[in-house]
Amino acid sequence: MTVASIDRPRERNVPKPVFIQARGITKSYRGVKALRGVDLDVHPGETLAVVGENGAGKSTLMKILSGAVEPSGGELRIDGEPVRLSTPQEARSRGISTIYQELMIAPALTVLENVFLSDLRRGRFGLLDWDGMRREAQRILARLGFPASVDTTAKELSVAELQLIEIAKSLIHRSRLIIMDEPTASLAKEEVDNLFRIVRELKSEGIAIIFITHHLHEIFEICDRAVVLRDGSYVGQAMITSLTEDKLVTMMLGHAISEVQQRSSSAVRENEVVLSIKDLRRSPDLQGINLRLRRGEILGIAGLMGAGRTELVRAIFGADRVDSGEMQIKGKVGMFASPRAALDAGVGLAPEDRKSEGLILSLPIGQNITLPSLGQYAGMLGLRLGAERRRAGELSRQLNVKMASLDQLVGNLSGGNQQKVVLAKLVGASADIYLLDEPTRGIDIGAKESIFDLIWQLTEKGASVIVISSAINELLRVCDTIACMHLGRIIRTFERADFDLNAIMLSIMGKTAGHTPNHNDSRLEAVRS
Amino acid sequence: MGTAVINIFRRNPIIFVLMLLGLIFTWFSAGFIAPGNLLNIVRQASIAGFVALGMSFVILARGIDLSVGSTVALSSVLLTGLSSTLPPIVGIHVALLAGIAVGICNGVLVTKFRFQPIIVTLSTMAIVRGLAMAYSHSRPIFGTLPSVYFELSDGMIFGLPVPMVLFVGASLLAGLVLNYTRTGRQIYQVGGNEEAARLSGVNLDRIRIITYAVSGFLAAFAGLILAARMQSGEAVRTGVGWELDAIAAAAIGGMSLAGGAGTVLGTFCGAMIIAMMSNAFNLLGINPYWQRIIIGVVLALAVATYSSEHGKAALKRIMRLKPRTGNIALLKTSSDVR
Repeated sequence: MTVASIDRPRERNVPKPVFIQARGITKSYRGVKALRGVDLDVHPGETLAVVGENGAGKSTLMKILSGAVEPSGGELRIDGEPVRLSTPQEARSRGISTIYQELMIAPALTVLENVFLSDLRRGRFGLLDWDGMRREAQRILARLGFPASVDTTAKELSVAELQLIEIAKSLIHRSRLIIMDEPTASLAKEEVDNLFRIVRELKSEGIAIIFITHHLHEIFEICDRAVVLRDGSYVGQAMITSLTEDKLVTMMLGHAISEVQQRSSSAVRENEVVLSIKDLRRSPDLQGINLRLRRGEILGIAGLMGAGRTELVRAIFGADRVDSGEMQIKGKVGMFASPRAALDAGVGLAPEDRKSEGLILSLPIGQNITLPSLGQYAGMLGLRLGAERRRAGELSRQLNVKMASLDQLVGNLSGGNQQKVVLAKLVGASADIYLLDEPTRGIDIGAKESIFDLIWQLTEKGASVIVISSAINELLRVCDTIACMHLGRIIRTFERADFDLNAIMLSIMGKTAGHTPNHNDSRLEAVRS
Repeated sequence: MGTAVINIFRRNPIIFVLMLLGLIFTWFSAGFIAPGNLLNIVRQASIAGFVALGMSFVILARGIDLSVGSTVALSSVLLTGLSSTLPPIVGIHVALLAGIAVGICNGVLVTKFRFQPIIVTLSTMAIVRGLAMAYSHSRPIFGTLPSVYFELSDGMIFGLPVPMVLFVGASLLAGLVLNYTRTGRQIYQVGGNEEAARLSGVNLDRIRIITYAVSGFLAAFAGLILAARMQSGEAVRTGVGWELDAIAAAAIGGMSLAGGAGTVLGTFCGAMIIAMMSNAFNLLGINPYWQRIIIGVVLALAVATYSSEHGKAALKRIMRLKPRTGNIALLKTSSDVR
């Protein structure tokens, strides 16, 4: 057995036909359009960057190419022939394999078993041909610079080494296109260098790579061409040699910023700091956070996935322990020992994943609303159900939850209404510091507007809000202040007067004026260990 | 009031199964409906019912307690053993405290050490059984209890067997606690979604430990009544396999082993159905091996009905409590949301 993809003769100077041709690809999830007619060409031997903000449609497009989801419309051709990829197996047999951020490795199995996980070879008598598989795995892994024996158990390996196993799997399947979804997210500098070396080698063998990354400098280092998506639409494509970082960022964001209605007034009370944090650390996610929240302030936290935003609000809320740091909240010093302590002090968290962390889907709306404030209705002879129900009714009306009755299961509500129930919980618990983690993710425009209105109302009544959002345009609209996080630090804070979309985008990617990001910093070391 | 009753039936379709089985057994066996026989069923159901009731608390908070059968045995030998020198009231208290202690141990191991409930309680199941055998030297303990104590099993209040009155009382109390107190509601919350409950300020460890303590307490209580019925205490065979009957009763009664869903009334009916089937099979002269097989099949059918979308929809259609259309779609969307 030989690996055709590696052993294929070089054909660099021959003009290459298109390998994959996608035209007008659309995809809707329950009426929400994730992709609106996207075109994409992939040529053999090219390294293609697909770029866009979170929610631009990158993942959906990659899932369609890898057979994980089927498009709602559009046409996909491979070598000019129309195809349907309805399962990952089909995509793989057509030469497309995907290396997800969450690696598909069975930790208890050996390297050899993992490499052949989905493609076990049979020899004589129908028995598995372990000798043949071992020889092939050893040969391929040696070329990839894999240091350990093929008999090592996968759980003993580093992320970078596991990634090599994934690449080896793709080569075993003779892939012609390898999709890499944020492959460098948890690699150290020298590991990234080794990965890039391999990418260049694969490329010279005629294998195409789609490379997804949030680090702009990597695109300029390794890619040939970039395709830009925004809000599910195809924005354009350009050769890397003709691009600058600023041009690319402008393509990603468009020029919509001038059309957005800004927050008109501010409720910030300058001299009343309700929450201040000094040098908060939690390895590996928080690397010394300094933060100040004033009464009436809406503080936005911008950052990429993995920047430590969620970890920061969870730490403030007492949901996770921290390693060190000082917190002062409404005059009291110290971290909260538990979410209960935070709620009792008037701090409420709307978690990132409302279904798995914010709500109990098997319980009715009413009982979800009073979840954190149940103690208010505890009397001598048990709960005062009448009072509880009245209050739940009031809160659901105040937040405009659209429902049939309080007894309806919360799992049957739409995303926007579920988010309103989560917020009703916090209002009912008399919170005056709100920590909102992606409150508008996956909900429709109308619900978004009412959540913004609520945030403004709350601050006018003297509450303070920290809001995390991946949609920077929303933060620009809603917030008084925006703090940019990158790799566990707040690297720059913007007051409303200095809001600058491009500067914020560059900051969350680790680029501040006069500062080059160091990708070999302690966080990455910690991830490896 | 009328809608409240309909809601009770809607939440507990098992009530109809209980009634249906009663009718079927009456049809096939004249002796089944005799007052003496019915009282016998109820007495039998009640003793095991305490264990099932305690198990319900644990299961609602998404746990499992395999140690209950051993706790029944420990309770019975502690009571009878101590009563050889001390008044029974001392033995009663020691036995109940021992049950609570076993429960707290289970709870602490599950919460503070984060061991899996099935492994923790499998261990305590062996340990507690061993303690009971060591204490009694694996010999039955006879003749230590005063005859007035036997009233706990054989006596009548308002013309009803004492164990039944106690069991109905305990079930009502459990129902009130689960629905009308903060702790009770938090048990459903923890079972429904642990992380959401924690982030809403619920003390998970406290709730979990309470459920295991309730389970240990009620298992010990069952041991006390069993000792009255047997007029003795015994460590080797007492309560063997009761944990499985208790889980079966809860599951037949519609309780989800995934936690957060189910009612005390369901478990009550589940315990009655199991006792009724054993009794009727005896009357009909069905071989005991077949009895176990039939109970196993009933359990599997019950779980299959509850957990499949079509089963749930069919249950509602059969009862004609909801219009036929829309049901399946409604259920599907609710599961899709997860």
